[in-house]
Amino acid sequence: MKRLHGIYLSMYRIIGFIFLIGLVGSIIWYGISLLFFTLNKSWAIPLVISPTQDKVLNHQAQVAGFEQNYAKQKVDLLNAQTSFDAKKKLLESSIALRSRLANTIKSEASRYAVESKNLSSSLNERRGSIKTNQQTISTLNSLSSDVQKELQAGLITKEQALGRQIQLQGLSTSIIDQKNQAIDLEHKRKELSSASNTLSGGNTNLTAFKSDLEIANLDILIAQLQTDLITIDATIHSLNSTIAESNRVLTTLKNSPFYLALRNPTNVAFLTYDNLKNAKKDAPIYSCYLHMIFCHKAGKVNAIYEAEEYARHPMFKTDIKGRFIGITFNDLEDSQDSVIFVGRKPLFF
Amino acid sequence: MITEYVSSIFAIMVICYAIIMYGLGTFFQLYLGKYFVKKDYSYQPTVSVMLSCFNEGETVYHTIKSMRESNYPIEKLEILAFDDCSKDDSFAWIQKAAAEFPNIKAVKNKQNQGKAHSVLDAAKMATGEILVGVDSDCIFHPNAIKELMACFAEPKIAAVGGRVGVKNSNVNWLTRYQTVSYALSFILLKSVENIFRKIQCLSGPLVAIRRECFFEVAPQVQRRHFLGVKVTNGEDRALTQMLLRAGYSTYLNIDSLCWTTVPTKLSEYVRQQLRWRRSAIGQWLDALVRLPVMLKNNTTLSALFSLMPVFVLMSWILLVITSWISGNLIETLNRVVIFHVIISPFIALFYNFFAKRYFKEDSLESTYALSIGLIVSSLWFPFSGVVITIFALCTLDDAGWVTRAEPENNIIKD
Repeated sequence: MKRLHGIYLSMYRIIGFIFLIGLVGSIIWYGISLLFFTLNKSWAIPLVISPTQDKVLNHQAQVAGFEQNYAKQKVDLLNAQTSFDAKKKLLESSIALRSRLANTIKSEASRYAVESKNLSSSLNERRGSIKTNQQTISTLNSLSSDVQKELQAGLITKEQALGRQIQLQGLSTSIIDQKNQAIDLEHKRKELSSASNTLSGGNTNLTAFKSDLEIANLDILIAQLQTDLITIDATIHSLNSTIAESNRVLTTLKNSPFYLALRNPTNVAFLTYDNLKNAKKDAPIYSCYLHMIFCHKAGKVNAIYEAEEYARHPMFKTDIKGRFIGITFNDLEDSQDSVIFVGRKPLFF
Repeated sequence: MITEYVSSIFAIMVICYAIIMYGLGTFFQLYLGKYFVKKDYSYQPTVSVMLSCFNEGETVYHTIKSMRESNYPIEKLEILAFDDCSKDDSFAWIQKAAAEFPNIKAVKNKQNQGKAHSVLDAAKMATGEILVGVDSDCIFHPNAIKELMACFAEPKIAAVGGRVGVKNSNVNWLTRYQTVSYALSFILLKSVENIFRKIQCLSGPLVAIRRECFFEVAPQVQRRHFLGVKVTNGEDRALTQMLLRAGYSTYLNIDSLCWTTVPTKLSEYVRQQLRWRRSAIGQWLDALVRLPVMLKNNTTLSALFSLMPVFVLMSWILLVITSWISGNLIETLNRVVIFHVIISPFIALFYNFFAKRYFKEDSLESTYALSIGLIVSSLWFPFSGVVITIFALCTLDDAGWVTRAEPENNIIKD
């Protein structure tokens, strides 16, 4: 029993010793690792992005969405520019038309004024003539009664009397016609006068007012077109900047490793912002044993991506922000390391 | 993923244990007082106090003096003071006490043999109906013995323990932390076991045992070994466990008070914790082996109480290991430490509020200083839970007084 106890005790002591050495070694190693990852500024986390990863597929969908949106924005811009050109032409022709119409109205008003004046003097003459004719008609009326008397007196025959009556009647009709013509002239003069007045800004002639209305309609059209052009111009500016931004985003998206990974698995490494200063194109990459010692050159940096990415700290397991860099590995086995170093060896060996 | 899941299970076990034990303990103390032992102060049997001393110097004299000044009939109280081959003047102080006070026997061991075996020798000389084991560095409340004896009114109770307070509580952050730790442990944590009379460890500084019960289990105490190496520490926990396995009940009377001097330096504290942890793990292994005996002679609850604390301690270790494997160790430790840091001021406030009202002798001078002490100790807890436990697990064959000296002979003789 004592011998058995002795064997058990020896075994226990050996196992206990190994366990304690392991415990102490683990604690020391863990402490060193913590210190190392706190102080070192060149570590990076290598990752392989493959075409079947959710993030790659989502990225593809995102790029397609952006491209569709980008194309639609370009069509919208084209439509806006076409509309702008058309409206600009319409505006120019409307302004020219309006100018012509205004000149025409002005000329018409002057002409109407002159014609009205002419008619007025002609009318005055006609009125003088009518007045003279009315005196003649009075004389004729007395002549007519004289003809009746002479017929009754038998001084003249019926035929002669009828002939005289017809002459008198014709004269009377002529006078009435003159009066009617005078009235017509008066009406025409008033028309011309009122038209001239309206075309000069008055409100007396409906027909002439329609010409003003045409001007006003043209003015409304011009104002509308000007407003439309300002709006379309702003839209064009906005679309231009949106398209430029979309173009930038698309370029960034297409430069992303997730886009490149659509065709082939892509090697990248995540670097925190603190560690980025060592990451330059063609900078060497080192792979090490036990994360930090006996390092060898494993490849080089082939790209530095702009997009912000998130990862978990290899020791502290907290979320950290940083960027991806593209990596070309000499030996793809090194891409399976949990940590690599960019730019230089972490401990110089 | 699996390791994270396993980590969560261990974390839940640790959290649940703390919440259930402290929560139930508070509830029992506040609302279930009628289920604790009905004390009978008229019961005054003869008492033999057994004291084993090693390198205590003058302190042992004050320990004996405070015991001698107890409110207990002087003719019913004998003190057996053993010096375990101290390298200082401890025995001279014991002799001085024996000369000054009646009913004191001063004995010097021929060779250093550890506290447990000194106590066994003392028990053979003892004449009392009740044997009281005490630590040689404690100061006792005058009513300590009277309070212990009053609980023996319940016939099934084989052993009654007292509450240990801290004598040097206001020295530094470590002593403040230990003061709170002792108080919460005795008043809240143990009250869950106490209400069922299944205290798993009656602390060595002050424990009373019926004579016949002691001698029933004494041979087992004497035979204790680990893979052939004599175990000379953790006798208090071992004795309590043996009594429970013999079918007896054990009880803790928090009104029976003594004060001990706790370590003031971290190195001393680590050594003490290592000794206690060895004792706890050793007894846990023993409890595992003897589980059928416990289940046969005592209750399932007692068996559960005997295994649970170390199971929880192991859960903490496994939580740390699985967190490490899953890479979440820093996060886990952060959470534990931050949680402790946040609750420390509240515990300090809560502790001093109740201490000043209900147990003034254990209240601390400054709640602020106590908060700082508890915050600093937050850093200790994860370390202690893992490193001390694993270290203890790997060195169970290391025995002796540990905090004071190494044992000279620790191999069982044929």
